[in-house]
Amino acid sequence: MATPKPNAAPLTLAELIAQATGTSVLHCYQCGRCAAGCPQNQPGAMEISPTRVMRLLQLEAAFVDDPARADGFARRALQSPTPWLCLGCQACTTRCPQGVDIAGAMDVLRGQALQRGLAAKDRRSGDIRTFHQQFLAKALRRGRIEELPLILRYKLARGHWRQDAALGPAMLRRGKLKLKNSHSADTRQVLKAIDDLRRSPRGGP
Amino acid sequence: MSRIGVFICHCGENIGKTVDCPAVAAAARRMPGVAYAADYRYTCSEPGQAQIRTAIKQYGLTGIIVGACSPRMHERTFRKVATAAGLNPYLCEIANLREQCSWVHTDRSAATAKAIAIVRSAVARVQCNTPLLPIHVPLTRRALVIGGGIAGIQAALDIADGGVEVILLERASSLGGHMAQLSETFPTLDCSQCILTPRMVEAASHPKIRLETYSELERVDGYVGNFQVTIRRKARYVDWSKCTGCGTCWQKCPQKKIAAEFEEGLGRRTAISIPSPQAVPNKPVIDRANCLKFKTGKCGICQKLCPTQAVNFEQKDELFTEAVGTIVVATGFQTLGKEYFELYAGGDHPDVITGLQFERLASASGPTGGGIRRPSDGQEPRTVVFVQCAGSREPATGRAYCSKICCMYTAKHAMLYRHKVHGGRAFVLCMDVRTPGKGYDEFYRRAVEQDGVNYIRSRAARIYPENGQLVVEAADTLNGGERLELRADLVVLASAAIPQSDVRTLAQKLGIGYDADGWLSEAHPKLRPVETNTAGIFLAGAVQGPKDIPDTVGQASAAAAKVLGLLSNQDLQRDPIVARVRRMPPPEYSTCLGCFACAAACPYQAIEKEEIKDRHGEWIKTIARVNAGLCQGCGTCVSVCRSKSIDLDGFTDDQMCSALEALEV
Repeated sequence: MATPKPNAAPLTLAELIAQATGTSVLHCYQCGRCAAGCPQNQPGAMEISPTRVMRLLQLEAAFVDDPARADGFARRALQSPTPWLCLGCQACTTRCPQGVDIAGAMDVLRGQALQRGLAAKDRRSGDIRTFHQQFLAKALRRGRIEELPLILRYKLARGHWRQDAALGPAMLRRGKLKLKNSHSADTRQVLKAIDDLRRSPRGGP
Repeated sequence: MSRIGVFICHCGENIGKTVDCPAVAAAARRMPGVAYAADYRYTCSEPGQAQIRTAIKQYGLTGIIVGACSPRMHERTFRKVATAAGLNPYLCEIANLREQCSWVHTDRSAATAKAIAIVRSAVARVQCNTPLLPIHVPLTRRALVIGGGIAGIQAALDIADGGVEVILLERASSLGGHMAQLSETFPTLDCSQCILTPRMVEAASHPKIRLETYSELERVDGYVGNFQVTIRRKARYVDWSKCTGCGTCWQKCPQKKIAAEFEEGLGRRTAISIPSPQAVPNKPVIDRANCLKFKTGKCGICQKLCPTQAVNFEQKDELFTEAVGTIVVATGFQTLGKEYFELYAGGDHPDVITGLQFERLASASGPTGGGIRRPSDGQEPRTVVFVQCAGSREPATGRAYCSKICCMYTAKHAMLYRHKVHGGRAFVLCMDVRTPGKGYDEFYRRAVEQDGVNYIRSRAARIYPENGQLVVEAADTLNGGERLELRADLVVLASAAIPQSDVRTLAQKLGIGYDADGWLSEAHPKLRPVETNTAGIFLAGAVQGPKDIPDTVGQASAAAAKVLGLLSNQDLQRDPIVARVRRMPPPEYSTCLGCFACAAACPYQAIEKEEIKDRHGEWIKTIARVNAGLCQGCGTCVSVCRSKSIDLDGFTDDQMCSALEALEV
């Protein structure tokens, strides 16, 4: 007979999500409303729907006594492009009848995928992940985002210079891209706020 | 000269769309004997009924025809209307223009012609009708309740509290039925015995309830209000009038290894035994098949030790007859045994158990004292797989129905297991989870969300033993149907609820119907859920279909209300549609030849012999006579009578022949 899980065992993704969002993916009853309303879940565009991601997380928790099997389910959730395709629009979270913070769960999955080196390797996910990382790195270092350097750095990393290039002049004209650097009035205070958030019990970025 | 009124109903569009109702009324107006004819959109509505009442009075009608829906639907309604206007109700006849005409035809002119023919036939028939008066039948103010489970107990208590004497019949030695075996009950998790035993004691001590346990129904004669029931009191080999229930006999009985039925085979009992310590009455019976005295002639320890000399090996079955006015059938259900499931570890693995067996494991009074232990080695199972829909919802194997109670009791089982076994894993294989009922879905979600029960949407394909465990082959249909093998220490089958194996015999004794699955049939699935098609016999509980405790208790109380309603009458009024042997003046008296072919044909034993004697008491002839109390008006006797001596009131030869002749154009 299987032995009970020792106390020192690593937390399941469901448990990490519960810590970060205060809601449990184990409450999901697979109604499919998140998948039905997800703007990114277009036919053929998303391998694993948000509902299915919830199911994989439940299966990891259900088979916690069988680490190899549990890990298999966790990996499939972490390696899937779904967390990267998530726009964070919160439609799923807003509508979930069981009150599960699905968008919040996706954020935890992105963090865990990066930490464990399991993030999806396809080109589309790679683009999003690079942007995501550069955006966060900049924000956490400077307390503020500057669009032009961010875009330049992103294009340098991913190489597709011509993609979206036509939008550049229009964005410049409308002041969406500024040529001059802008700084926060008090960068130190913003960084402190971010740091405080990180130390808070719910966790931060 | 008859003055007939004809009322043609449009039934909204139902008749009016296909049949030209005004034309039918106009044609009726020209038929011989018709004094008045009209059509109306809804004749059954209050204005429609008022039209009939007014016409009867205004035109002095001697009979009416309502051309409308089936007589099953509204014959009673329109006969009441006739009565209200002072016309004998049996002078009102229905011409079925809906089921027999508009609903089955599309050609408007042909349908209209047919409707006119139907009306013409009815007009000819009603002119031969005679006023009939209801038959009054005496009533026995006493009820029989068959089955001493929660349904029977509830029905008996409600009837008895209404002041009517009840005989409560139970074939086991104790009251309680399946509910006595249950551990906790959903959705409140209150202990089953704690809520049931007080009711059992109440039933046993109620001054209006006579308990007949360890007894079965032998035969039923008679009819509503006047049943004669013969009861077989099985030999107990213990004189219960002397027995004090001290327990010496069952403590000393040397035959201790008999699989206990009450424990679903998980516990043991002696040859002289009571089913459980909470038994009511708390008196033992000897199981003849397992008793050493009966098998070998030696032993008799119980007889020697009994302080009141209650043990009597000579006791025989007793038959006795009781008169009752109504009968409530509450004989319950059983569940499929695990041997039925060959794919599930061959159907004989000790660690594959049924839901009812799990109840005994979880019960504080059960063989493990409430500890969850697997039967093979007594170990506490670390992983339990619960398999729902085991044998239910499977048309391929003959049961298409949902057993209704399993979703809830499986959620309860998984929850109890999680409460009792710290760190244990519970998996439920389900097709879907059906939890309609107050507090039911919340209960199921609690099992998932608070008690960590893992639900997997799949049926189990196969279960086989491997290395001391059981491998359950499943798939997760919510994860693309991916195959999922579960390793379990114990498997619990939510096996289908099925009718009692002898329920058909019982139904035949009572003359009531059952469906293809063997559940007893109610008179109407929605509007008459506790009546049967036989007057005076009612249903309560799972004998009518799988039911949980609240539904069972509700239906039992409903059956009791029907019993009390029926028995609150002074006597019974019956439809006078009964057969009658034609009589004529002396010297013939009757054309009946006394062949009694009618008596052989009558399904209700309603034909009696009547001796005709002259004024000196000299026998002249023996002829048939119909007992109007027993006759159900089926007309079988009429069709077998060789001398045409029997007629059926309301359907006389005159009426039928006139109706048929009028159809010929």
